[in-house]
Amino acid sequence: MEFSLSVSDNAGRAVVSVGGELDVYTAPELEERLAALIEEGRVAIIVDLTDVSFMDSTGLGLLIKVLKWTREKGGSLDVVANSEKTLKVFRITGLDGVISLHSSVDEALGA
Amino acid sequence: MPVATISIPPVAEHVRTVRMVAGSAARRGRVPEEAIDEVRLAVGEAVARVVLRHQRAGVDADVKVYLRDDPEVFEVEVADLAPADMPDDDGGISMALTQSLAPQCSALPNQEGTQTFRLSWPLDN
Repeated sequence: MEFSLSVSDNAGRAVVSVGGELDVYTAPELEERLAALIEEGRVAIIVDLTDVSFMDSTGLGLLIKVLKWTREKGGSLDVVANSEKTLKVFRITGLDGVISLHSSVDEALGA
Repeated sequence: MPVATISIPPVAEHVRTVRMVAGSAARRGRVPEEAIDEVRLAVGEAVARVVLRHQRAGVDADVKVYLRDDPEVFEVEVADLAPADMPDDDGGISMALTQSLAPQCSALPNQEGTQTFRLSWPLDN
């Protein structure tokens, strides 16, 4: 599955949907998109990883960076992930206790 | 005996290829099916980390990856030509993930002040 990115608005929050493999090669594209959103003042962000088939530590590192950026601007970062493969990467690194994880965009919107 | 030797330029886009080859080699090397994703992730982490280290150290040489299997173990070595004492700039998250995924993970020092990372998956016989 090719890497894909799309941004939509939902209840005042920017929902960034990611598909394909999020790794050392593709993470810079996501970083650029997220940085642009924050630059525009859209600091309440949901990153939807539902369609991500593979994620490595570069993806995790980016999410941590974005968490910091949004907090500095008084915003928030919520992440949607429901595949066992993706969740395992969060669990192994202990970042499931740092990043707000949700099983659906609806759940994240309620957070 | 070696099953594959892969040499890639230190460029991020090639890491995916190594991941795919490692997954196939592990399957052929009788690594249990449920551990194949872990092999792909661990090898991808190790290779991505070395690619970034080569870039940061200004090392243009290819990153070499050796995949071997014998009756008792499936083994992957990634040669890092950046100075061994150069710290990572990701807070150690990549190395921590690699070490958590591979049952055995070691850094073998080379004479030139560099190191080779060896990841091993013992096989049931």
